[in-house]
Amino acid sequence: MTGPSPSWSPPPVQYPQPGGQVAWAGGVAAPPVPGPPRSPVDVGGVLRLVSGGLLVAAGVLTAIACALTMYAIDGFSDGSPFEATAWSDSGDRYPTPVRWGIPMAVVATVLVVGGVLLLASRWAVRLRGAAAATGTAAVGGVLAVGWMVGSYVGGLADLLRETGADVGGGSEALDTGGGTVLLQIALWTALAAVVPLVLAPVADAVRARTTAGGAR
Amino acid sequence: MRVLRPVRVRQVSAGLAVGAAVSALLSLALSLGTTRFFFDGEEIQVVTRVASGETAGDGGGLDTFTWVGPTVLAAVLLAAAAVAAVGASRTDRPGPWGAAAQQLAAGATGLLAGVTGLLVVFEVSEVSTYRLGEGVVTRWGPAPAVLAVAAVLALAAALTARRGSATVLATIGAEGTS
Repeated sequence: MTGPSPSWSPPPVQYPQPGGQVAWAGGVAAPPVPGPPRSPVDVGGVLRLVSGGLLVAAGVLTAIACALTMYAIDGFSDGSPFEATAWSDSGDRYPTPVRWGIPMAVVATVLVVGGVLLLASRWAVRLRGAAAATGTAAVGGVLAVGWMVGSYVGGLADLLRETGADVGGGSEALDTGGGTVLLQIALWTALAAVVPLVLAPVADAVRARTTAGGAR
Repeated sequence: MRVLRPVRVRQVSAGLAVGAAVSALLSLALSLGTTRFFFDGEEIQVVTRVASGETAGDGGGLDTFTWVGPTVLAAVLLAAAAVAAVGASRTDRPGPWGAAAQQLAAGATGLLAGVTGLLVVFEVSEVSTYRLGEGVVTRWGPAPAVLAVAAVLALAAALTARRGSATVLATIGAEGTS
């Protein structure tokens, strides 16, 4: 009788399971485990998104400021305050009514357009030059409008204070309205957008250099 | 085949930026408007609004409106844009100098356009206010027009800062054809 007995059966074989512990002989280094290729973070694109978002926010703030009171003057003898918005005022006696709303609306539109272009340029490379130029022009526009309107309202407040002092303690006083305050916030928001806008091409150049170095 | 060389276009851009800066600075020496007050046909008072916000003449008690700060800033940006455009004009290849020139000129364009728009709406209101008064004549000054010219020149500088196509006219296989 040469074959195995009917009661014989082969010993069970333990195959290593995927993910299981593998024991290595001492002194033999484990082979490196290749991970998924790491794509470098597109810092320039993120900076463009931040800049575009800030510009859109500044545009919305400027548009809202158009509908609010720019300043109010209290203390008239008849008791009724003088209120001036960006489009109209409550009287024609003092001071000269100025329609600030026209340049403000134009600036708000350019801010939103520049912001949207910058957001789109995160994916559309061809738009980057035009988006950056439009965004910068919009920042210049809101800087001029915010600076000059703020200066005008501040100068008017000083004038009323001096005039009141000259005539012996006049009670007319200027209250800065929400429109002027919002315009200043929009101005600083737009200025904050310049920083990532300027840094984005620098980040692109660094990324391109890193990618080229890795490929070499 | 004639091509527009970037070197030449960038030199033109630098010239436009300088012209815009000069125009912007010129507006500081000009007036926004002049109001003349008459009594019995005789001129009794002349009030002229100038860039510093002061009113030349006996204009005490008037609200002030100044455009010195944004205009000087725009002129500085345009000067920097001109320098960057000259730097970019050393080669036909695109580079950071051209991009910087374009952005600086674009910022100055926005500033000058904003200043011009504000001056116009301010003076329109001023003229319309005094139009109703007897014996009062208000005339526009040249400052808004000069600032508008500066804004147009700055816009042209921004548009031309990265224009032009390189003269790459390769004659492939020219030696083998003879």
